[in-house]
Amino acid sequence: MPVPTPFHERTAPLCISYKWKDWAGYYAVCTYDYCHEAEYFAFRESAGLLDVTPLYKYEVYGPDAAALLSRMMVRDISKLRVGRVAYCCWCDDRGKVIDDGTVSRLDEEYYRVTAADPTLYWLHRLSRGYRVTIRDSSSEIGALALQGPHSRDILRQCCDADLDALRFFGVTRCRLDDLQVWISRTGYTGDLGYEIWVERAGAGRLWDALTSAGRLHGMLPAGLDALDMARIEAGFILLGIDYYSSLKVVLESRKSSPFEIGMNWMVKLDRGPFVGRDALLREKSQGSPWQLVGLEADWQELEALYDSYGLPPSLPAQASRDPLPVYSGDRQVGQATSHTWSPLLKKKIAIASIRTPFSHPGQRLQIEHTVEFERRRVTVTVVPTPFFNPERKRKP
Amino acid sequence: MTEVVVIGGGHNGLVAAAMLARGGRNVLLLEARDRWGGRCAPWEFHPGYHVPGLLHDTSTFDPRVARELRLEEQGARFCAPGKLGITDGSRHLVLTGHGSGLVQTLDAAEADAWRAWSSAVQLFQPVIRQLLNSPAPPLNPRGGGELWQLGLQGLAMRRLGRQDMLELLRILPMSVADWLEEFSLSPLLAEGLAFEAVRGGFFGPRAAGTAANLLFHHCSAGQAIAGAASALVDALVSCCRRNGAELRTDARVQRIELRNGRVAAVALDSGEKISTHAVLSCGHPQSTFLDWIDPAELTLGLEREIRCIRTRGTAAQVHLALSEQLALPAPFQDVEVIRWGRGGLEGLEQVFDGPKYGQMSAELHLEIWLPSRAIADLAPPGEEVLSIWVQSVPYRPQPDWNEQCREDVQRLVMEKLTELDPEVHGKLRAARVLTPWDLEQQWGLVGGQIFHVERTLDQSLMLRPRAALSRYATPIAGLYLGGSGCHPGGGISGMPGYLAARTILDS
Amino acid sequence: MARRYDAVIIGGGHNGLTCAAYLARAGRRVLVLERREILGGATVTEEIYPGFKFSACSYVVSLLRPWIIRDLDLPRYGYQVLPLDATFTPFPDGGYLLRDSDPERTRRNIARLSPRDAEVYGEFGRAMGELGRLVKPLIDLPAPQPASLNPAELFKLLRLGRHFQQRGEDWVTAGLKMLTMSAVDFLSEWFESERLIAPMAVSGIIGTFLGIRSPGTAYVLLHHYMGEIDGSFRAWGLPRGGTGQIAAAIASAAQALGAEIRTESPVHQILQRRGEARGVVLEDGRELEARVVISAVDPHRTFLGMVGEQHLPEELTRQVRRYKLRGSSGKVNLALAALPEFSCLPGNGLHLRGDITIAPGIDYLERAFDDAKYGRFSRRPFMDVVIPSLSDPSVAPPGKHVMSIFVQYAPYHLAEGPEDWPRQRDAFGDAVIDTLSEYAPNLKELILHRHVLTPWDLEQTYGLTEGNIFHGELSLEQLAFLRPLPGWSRYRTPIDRLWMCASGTHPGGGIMGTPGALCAKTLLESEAV
Repeated sequence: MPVPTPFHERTAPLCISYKWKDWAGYYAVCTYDYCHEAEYFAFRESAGLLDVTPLYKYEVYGPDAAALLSRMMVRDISKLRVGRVAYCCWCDDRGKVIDDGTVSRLDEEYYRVTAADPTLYWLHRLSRGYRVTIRDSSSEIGALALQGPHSRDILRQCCDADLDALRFFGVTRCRLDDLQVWISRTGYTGDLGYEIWVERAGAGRLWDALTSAGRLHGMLPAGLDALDMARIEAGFILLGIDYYSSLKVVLESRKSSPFEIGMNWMVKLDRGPFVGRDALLREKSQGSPWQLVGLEADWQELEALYDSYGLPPSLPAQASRDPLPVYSGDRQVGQATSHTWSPLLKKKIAIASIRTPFSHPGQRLQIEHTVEFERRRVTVTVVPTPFFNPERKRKP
Repeated sequence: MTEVVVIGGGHNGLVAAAMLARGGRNVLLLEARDRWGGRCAPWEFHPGYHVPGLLHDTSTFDPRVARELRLEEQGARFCAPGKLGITDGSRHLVLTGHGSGLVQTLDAAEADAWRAWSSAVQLFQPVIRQLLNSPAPPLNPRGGGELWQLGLQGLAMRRLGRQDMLELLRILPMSVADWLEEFSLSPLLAEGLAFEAVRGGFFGPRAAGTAANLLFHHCSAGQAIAGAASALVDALVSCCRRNGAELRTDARVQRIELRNGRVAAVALDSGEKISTHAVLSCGHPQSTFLDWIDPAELTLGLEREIRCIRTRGTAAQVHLALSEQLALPAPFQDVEVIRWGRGGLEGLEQVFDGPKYGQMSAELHLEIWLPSRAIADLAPPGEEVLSIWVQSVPYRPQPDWNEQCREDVQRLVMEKLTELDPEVHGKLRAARVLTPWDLEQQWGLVGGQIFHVERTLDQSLMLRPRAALSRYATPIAGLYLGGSGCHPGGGISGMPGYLAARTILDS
Repeated sequence: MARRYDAVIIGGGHNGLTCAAYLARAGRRVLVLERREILGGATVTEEIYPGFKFSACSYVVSLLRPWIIRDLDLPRYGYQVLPLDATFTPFPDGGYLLRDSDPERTRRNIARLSPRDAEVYGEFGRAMGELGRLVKPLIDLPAPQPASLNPAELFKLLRLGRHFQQRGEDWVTAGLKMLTMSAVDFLSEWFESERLIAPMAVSGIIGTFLGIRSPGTAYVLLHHYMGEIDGSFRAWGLPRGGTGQIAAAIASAAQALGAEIRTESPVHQILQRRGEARGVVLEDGRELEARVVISAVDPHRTFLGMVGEQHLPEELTRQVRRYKLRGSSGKVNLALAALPEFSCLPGNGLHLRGDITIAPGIDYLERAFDDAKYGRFSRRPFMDVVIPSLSDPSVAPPGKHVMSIFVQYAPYHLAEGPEDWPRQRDAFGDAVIDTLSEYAPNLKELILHRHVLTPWDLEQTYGLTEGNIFHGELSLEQLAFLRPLPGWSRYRTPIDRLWMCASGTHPGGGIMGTPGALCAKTLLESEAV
C-alpha cells in the first residue's frame, strides 16, 4: 500500500485520469490527463514538472565520505569537485550491478546519493572502518524534476541562482520563493532540465512557485508515462526493467556487469580497490557476453506487415516494459526490455540486451511483433543511444 | 627480504615460526607484548608470585609436533598429567590426568559407567585424532590432494563399521548433557566431565554440539608438559632461535599492507615497515581482517562472515597469592586441579544462564589450579599461588562494571574457598582478577574468548572460524591464519600453527 | 481369525491415513485402526463446547506437501486452506510489528524498528527461499544413508552431493550453518533489531525443547519456512473447518481408494512370531492378521508399548529409551464472546486475521526457556495465537470466536514430575491468559470457555508420548538418517514386517504427510506387500 508524497495535496486534484502507480512505496501519477502525449511534448517543447520524491536519498558526510563512495561506486568519486554531480552505478563483490543513481558533492565532506532502490543497508555495510555519518533523508526531502527547453527560463523567474553558471551535472544551493533549495542540472528526460530538492515542509510552496512561474511558458505537470517515453529516447536504462539488481535476483544469468548495460565509460579500474573491482578487471580482459544497445525498427517493413492484415500501422501510444525477444535468423540473441513509439522521431525504438557478437551498430536483427494475436518479426537495426540528444541539454 | 612474517608469539605462533624456520624459510615472528607465549606466558601477578601461563592444561599438546620440532632436545619434558579432583563441596572424586585416566574413590557401579563412557570415547579416538591432526575436510575439494584427504577421512570413518559410524554421527551434534546421561554416571562425575565441553563457552551442557567438544578433548589428551605452559613456551622459543627464526617482542602490528590484492608488507606501530610476501597471522581472525587490513580490500561477503564470528568470553580468572598452602580435604591431597561445581548437570547449566543477559551468573563453577605444588619457584618457599577459572562472567566493555565485577568475583571465590579452608582469608597476600574484558585489554583476546573463536558446531571443523578461512590460506593472496581460531582450535595443541605452517611450506 | 489384510496401520492420524491412501491406491487391502472415536490424531477438529470447533492440537498448515494434495486429490474431499499471511507481534511498551503479504507495508513497518533491517528483509526472504530449494530433496525423498555400502544408496548420496555442489559453495556453507546455528545467531547475521529477530526466531523453536539461542534451532526455522501453499514458499494457512478437515479429507480419499478405517479400535499389542510382526491384537481381544503392520504412533509407544520390551533385543530397547521426546508445549483453546482488542493496535483489522505472536524480545524468550530447563512452565511464555473463526466462520456461532493459543514452554517433565500437571493445569492456563491480557486487556471478560491442554493431556488424550507434538525432538541427532533410530530411517524397523510411518520417521513433524506417503512408497517398492 503506497503512501502520498509531500506534493500529493497539489498533484492529486490535478490527476483527473486517476491513473496512479506505486513507485518505491509512494503514489505516483502515471498521467494527469487521459492521454500522456501533451505531457510528453511539454518535456520536449516547453517544460514538464514531475514529482520525483520517491527516489531514495542518502546524506553521507564526514572526513572519509569521499573514500567510502569511491569504494562503493565504479566511478572515482574522489575526483568529484564541490558543486558537481556524478551519475554512477555500484556493484556487488562479483562485479554485478546493484543499482544506479547520482552522487552530488554538496560540500567538502558532504555528499548526497540518490538511488532507485533502498541503499541504506549497503552504505552501512560498506562504512565499517570509515569516519562517516550516513543518514536516510528519503522521507525528509521532496524533489521535483523540471525538464524541457523552457525550464531554465522558468527557474530564472523564481530563484536567485546563477543558472547560466550552473553547468550540466552541476548542483547549487539557492533561494526559491523564500525557500532554501538545492538545484541540480540533472534529469531523466535527456533534455535541458533541473531537479529541485526541498525540505518536506516546503514542498507545497515549491510546487506553487514553479507552477505560477511556469504558467506563461506552457509548463505542464507530467507523469511517469510521459517520462518513460522520454527516457527511452534519451537511452536511459531503468532498474528492474532493463537490468536487475544483483541483490534481488537469484539467477546469475539475470545479473549484469556495468559493461553489459552501457556503463563502460564510468568504470575506472586503474585506482585503488572498490567493490567488484577484481571481477570487473577479469571481465574487462575476457570480454562481456552481453551488450546494451539501441534498436530502430524498419518502418517500411512494419507498415508492410500491418498492410498484409489489411490494417494501417498501429502502435501503442505508451512505452512498453514487456520484454520482446530479438532474433538473428532462428536464434534468439537477446531481448528488447523497453520499447516505444517515439512521437518526436517518428520511429519505433527500443533498448535491448543483445549477445555481444550481434551488438555492433548497423547489425540487422529481428524483433518479435504481434499483430492480430499472431507473433511475427520485424527487422531492427542496432544503433547507438541516445536516440534523441539535443544540444540544449549540455549547452551552458 | 623476510619470506614469512608470523604475527603473534603465542604457542601457535611459536610452533608455526619454528616449523617454517625448520623448513628453511626466512621467518620473522612478531609479538605485541613484551614476552613470549601469549596466554601461555608466565605472569608475575604480584611481586614474587607467578603463574606459569593462564592456560594450565598442556595435555592436549600434540606429540607429533613435539617430535617434529624435537622439543625434548630444547628442554621440554613430558609427564603424566596431574590428578583432577571433582567436588560439589561435600562429595569428592579424583581422576587421574584430566579425566583421561582411571577413576579413584568411585564405587563399583560408578566405575563401570565411567568405563563404558570411556571405552565409547576410545572407540572413536583414531578417527577423531585423524580429524584433528589434519586440515579440516575441504567443503569443495579441488585437486588431487584435497580429494585424497577427503578419501582418507572417509575411509577412516568407514573403518568404524556401519553401526559405529552412525553412532559417531549421532554423537557429534548432541548436547554433552544428553550424551553423558545415556551412561548413568553419577551427577557429580557427569558435571565434572561436562565442564570440559563448555569451558569458556557461551552455552551450557544442554546446548547441541557440546558433546563434540568433550569427545575432541578426550581423544586428543595425552601427556602433559612438566613445568606447564611456560615450560613449553621456553622450549618453543629456543627451538625457533636454533632454527634461525628472527624473534621480536614489543612489535605491535598496525597494518598488513596489500599491493594489487597481495600481501606486500607489515607496518608496525613504531612506524617500521617490513616487506614480505607472506603473513601468517596467529592473532584473532577479527583483529587480522578487521583491524589490520584496509576495509576496501575485503569483499563484503568475507567481511560479513568475519564480523559475524562469535567470540563472547564467559570466564574470569582469579590469581591468588597465599602465605601458606591451601588446606585441602584428604582425597584431594595430591590433586593438581579441582573442579568445584554444583553437583550435577542442571547446576552446571545454571552456571551459564547469566551471560545471556549480560550478568554474572548467580551460581559459579570454579576450576582451581594449584601449580606451585608441582612447579618450583612460583611462590616463596612454603607459600602458594592459585589460578582459578571462574565460570560464568560475561564480557562487558564498561570499566565501571568490570571494577565492580572484579570485587564480586574475588569475594565469591574467597567465600567458596573458605568452605574448603576456613583459614584462607588469613593466608591471602594478594589477588588479581581478570574479567573477560581484562583478557581482551591485556592479552588481546577479542571479546575475552579464551579460544579466540567460540567452540560451537557452526564454528568448528570446516566452518572454523568460517568456511572461507578454514584451511589456513585466506582469500587474500599471501595471508594465512594459524591461531586458536582455526581448526582444530582449542587450548594448547599447537595444531593450528603447525598445520598452517605446513600449508605454507607445501605451497 | 479374521480376514487377512495386506497392511494394518495403527493410528488414524494424518500420516497413518496418508499411508493407507497410498497403499490403497496401489490396490492393497489396508485397514486403519484408530483408538479414539474420531480420526486425525493430533490433526483433529473437536467441538469441545457446543458450536465451537477447535483445532485442538495442531492449528495451522503449511508443510502438507503439494504433491500429496495432488496425488490424493484432496480438494475434492473437502481440503481447503485459507491464507494466513500476516504476523502480528505486540510489544509491552505499546509498539507492534505487523508483517503481511504487502511487501511495501511490511518494509515500512520494519523500518520503524530499523530502516536497515527493512532493507535486508527482502534479501533474507530470497536467501531462505533458495535454501528451501536446496533442502527440498531432503524433505521430499527418503533420508540418505551415509553409512550404507549399497551402490544404489551411494549413487543417491552422490546425486544429492551434486545437487548441493551445483548451487555453489556459498550455499553449501549457508546450509551447513543453518543446520548448526541457533536461530538467534543465524538471524543476527542479517538483522539488528531484536524486535524483528525474536518473532522470526520463534519458528525455530516451535515444538522443540530448545531455546532460541540453542544451536540447531536455525534449521527448524527453515523447516517452518518451507511451508508451501499453492506452490509459493513460506506461506501458512488455516484449513477450513479446522485441521480435522485435513484428516477427514485424507480419510475420505483413502476410503474412496478402498481402504478400510475403524475408529474406537485401540490396539493392545503387535503380534510377533519368530521375530516377525504378524498382526495386531485389539484391546477387546480380537486378533487381526496382516502381511505388514505399520505403526503411525510414536517410536516409544510402538516399541515399548505395543511390541513390548520383552520382545525387543536389548540394544534396541536401549536405543528406543534414549530417543528423546520431551514435550515442551501446550495449548489453550478459548471460546470468545467477541474479538479481543489489542491496546497497541485497536480494532479488528488484518492483524487479528493472521498469526499473533507473543515474542517481544530475545531475553523474554530465553527466560521462558530457562523456566522449562528447570522443570517449570514458562511464567511468561511464548505464544502463537490464531483466531480461525475470523476467516472461517463455520467454526464458531455467529459473532462468536474461537482462539487457539499455542504455548511454549510447558515441559512434560515438571520438577515435581509429569503427574503433577493436572494440579498445575489451571495455574498454567492462568499464566497464559494473564500474559495475553497484558496485550489485550479485554480478553478476560470475553472468555466463554477455556480448554487447557498440557503435555500430560496431549499424552493421555492423543497418545503423544511425553506430549511431544513431533513424535520426537527435531534435534540434529534425531533427524534424517538418524530418525528415529540410527540405521532405521527407511520406515522399516529391526522387527521384520513392522514398519513405521509417522512423524517419528524422516522427515519428521508438522502436518506434512511425507512420512506416511514415503513409507507407503518404500513399502510398495520393497514388494513386502
